[in-house]
Amino acid sequence: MTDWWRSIRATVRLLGRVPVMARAVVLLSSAVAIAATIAPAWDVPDGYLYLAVLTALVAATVPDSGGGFCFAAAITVAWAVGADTYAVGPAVVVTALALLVGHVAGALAAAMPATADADPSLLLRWWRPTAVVAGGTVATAALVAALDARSRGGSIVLVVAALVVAATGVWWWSSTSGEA
Amino acid sequence: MTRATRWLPTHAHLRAVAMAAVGVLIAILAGRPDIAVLAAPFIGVAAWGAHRRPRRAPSAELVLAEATVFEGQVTTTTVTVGADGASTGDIVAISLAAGPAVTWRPRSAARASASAGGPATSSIATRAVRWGRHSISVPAVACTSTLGAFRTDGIAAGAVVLTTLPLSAEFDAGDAVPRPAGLVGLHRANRQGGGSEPAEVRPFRVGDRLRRINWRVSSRTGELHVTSTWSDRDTHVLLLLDTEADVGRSEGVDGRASSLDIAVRAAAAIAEHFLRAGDRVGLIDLGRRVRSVPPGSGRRHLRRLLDALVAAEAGPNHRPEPVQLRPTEAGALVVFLSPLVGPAGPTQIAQLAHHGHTVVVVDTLPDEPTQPVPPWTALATRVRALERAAEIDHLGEMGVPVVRWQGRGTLDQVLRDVSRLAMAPRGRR
Repeated sequence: MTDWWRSIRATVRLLGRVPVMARAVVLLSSAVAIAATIAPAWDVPDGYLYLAVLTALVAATVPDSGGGFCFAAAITVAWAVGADTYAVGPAVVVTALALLVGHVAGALAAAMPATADADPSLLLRWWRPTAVVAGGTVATAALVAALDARSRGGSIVLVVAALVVAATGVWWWSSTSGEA
Repeated sequence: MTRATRWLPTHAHLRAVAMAAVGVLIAILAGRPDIAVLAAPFIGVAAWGAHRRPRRAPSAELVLAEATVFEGQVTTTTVTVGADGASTGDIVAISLAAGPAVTWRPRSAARASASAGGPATSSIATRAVRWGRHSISVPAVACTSTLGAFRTDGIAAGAVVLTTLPLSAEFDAGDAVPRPAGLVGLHRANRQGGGSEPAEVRPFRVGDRLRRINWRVSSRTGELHVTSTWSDRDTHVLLLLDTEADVGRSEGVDGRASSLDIAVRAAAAIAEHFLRAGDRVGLIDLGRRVRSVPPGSGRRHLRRLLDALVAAEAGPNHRPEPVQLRPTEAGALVVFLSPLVGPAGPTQIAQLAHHGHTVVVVDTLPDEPTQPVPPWTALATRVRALERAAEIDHLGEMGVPVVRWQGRGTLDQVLRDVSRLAMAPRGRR
């Protein structure tokens, strides 16, 4: 126990600035995702939110683990079971963008040891693909909202078609972009 | 069994793929366009990451800027990844490992840097704070592809050895040695001959060199006079290490030193001093931690001595019976480095002094008490300290000086004293 505690203290003393900031972004985006999930006036079951908070802490502490998936799944299930309207509004877009930022920050934090020394510019290493995917997400939301309004009762065929278009667009962009 | 280096999907990529699949599934089955929007970023990230998957995993190479340094000296450890032309992805993270005697800057010995896909180099300042051979390895080299989708697994960079020489202790001494006897060297002998230090001006004798004639005195006295000199001689210095017990804590050049640390540093410093003066220096370790080195001279011999010293093992290992000394060269200066806590040291010193050698003892016992101890242990330690003081007094009575190691000038006074003693009429001591 003493050795374990000593090891934890030594690691905390050596924590690097960039890994800590990446973890902070994971926590912040998780908080935004939870807030955006709660914000609409519908009743989200508390259990999912508690699970989301817990898994967000795990995802921030150990980014290279299943914590991030559990968090995203908890948020998605909370939307699936709690929303009283299926319409695509600002809250779902904000939630999707927060999940995206949390995912990328978690991937960045997992790419290096928590004690690694790194240049702060490394935090913005993947800003361009993230911005492209974020733009694709907003475009998808707009497309889905437009298609959903034109079809009766929600045409899931059109929704999936919109997702395929968005994914193809992202694929094309990533293959032509100079950013590695 | 070694694993092949390869690119493997990360938790992040699996998360993106799983969330995309689950989101689309829920969206289709439940007819929920809002869930499809939540899945959209994961579809994008998964597609981007999969499309940018590197094909061939890189290799890594570990290089030291200087493989041999002195204690406290800083060198650089460099890890080069992808020199073989394979992709290094977007981010390269490395982590170095070594024993407690090596410190790093950054202190964590871990560094992450951006990579453009080609060869990537990361350097970490490395400082060995204790003499010895320190193995430096790279337990972790990780290359991560775009958006953290794939990461290398099993990159091995081998290990390098940083040889750290114990020459940090500054040491200097006067040129007095008790019985300089060799043919070359810088010490003033007890007899006159070819040398550099003037001895006297005396009348010319047959055999004197013409260039020694002192013309000023000769013209004043009307008789040829020459300036005679003391001949320069070398001596044989035998360094005797007593490493039977390693007393105290070793914290490197910046902290406390154990008796083995002090002995090794002092032996290196004394050897360097006398070898620089052209003397022959040999090394014997009674504790068998350091291999013996026969007498020799020159810079190459210094390296042989240092190589033997850096290989000294630390730790309280049980040693077999101490080395029994064979008769050494008559007139040799024996410098005995010992913490004087075991029975072997004083016994060997007494034998050497009895055989007529000039012995100087350097006390290597550290100053500070090592750790707080229980009352009975403290009492026992005090009793042992009193016995030790009595043994040191006894050595003094035998004509064997005992000095504490203090770096520069430690041996000046005792060497002067034993030199005067050596010039005195001989008698059995």
